[in-house]
Amino acid sequence: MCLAIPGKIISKKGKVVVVDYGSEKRKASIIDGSYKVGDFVIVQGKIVVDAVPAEQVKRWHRFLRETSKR
Amino acid sequence: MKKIVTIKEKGVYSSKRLGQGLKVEAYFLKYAFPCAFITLQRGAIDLKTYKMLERAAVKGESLPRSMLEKVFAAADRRMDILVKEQGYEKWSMKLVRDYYWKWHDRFIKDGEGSYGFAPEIIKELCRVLPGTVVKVGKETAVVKLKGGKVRPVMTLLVGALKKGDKVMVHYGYACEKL
Repeated sequence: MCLAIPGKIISKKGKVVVVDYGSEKRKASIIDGSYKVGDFVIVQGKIVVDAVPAEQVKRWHRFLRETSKR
Repeated sequence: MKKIVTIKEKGVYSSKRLGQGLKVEAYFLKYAFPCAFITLQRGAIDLKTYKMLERAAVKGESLPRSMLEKVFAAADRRMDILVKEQGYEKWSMKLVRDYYWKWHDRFIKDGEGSYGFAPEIIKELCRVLPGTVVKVGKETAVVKLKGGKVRPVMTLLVGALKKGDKVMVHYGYACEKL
């Protein structure tokens, strides 16, 4: 399964990155695009799907919190 | 959203057999599953349910409509709007297809429901877009989406793809081979 929150890349070895979610860390593969340590990304099914612009990370969390209340 | 617009049946949007021979519940799940991780993250479903949805989506199996309507409550609500306002038949293949191929994008653009306060990146990933496979890997593919962006996707829901295949993409998954 994958976490529906942006995670931060904390290390990179070739095409494999370790993504930190705060509560846990997970590995993911880069199959397209260029990412670097420090980038926020969204991972699905163990691949990095897209980058999340830093200014949208908080909004993503807020979106989840607000929709959880409904 | 006042007028019924028929989806063009030719070109990149054409699908030889609507729903690829799947039952409507299974067809719906192929498109709905990619956003289930958000539902899981919200705590609206548990991990066991998520796994069950994933298994059924990958295998193309049907799940009870009542369960799908509950888990994917927002999609169900939006499809009900289309039934009411556009005259679609509830749980018809045409409704499911048109919802994901056309109306879904309009609901996002209109900021309907939770889309109204979703960050841009969620709205971007949430759009269901057609695209062309430019690279394939093990259970993955890289797709050039309509509009020019490139998206890496999982191919578990559609099976093996080859370069040049046309697919519909939702979040990080190819949902249907066209």
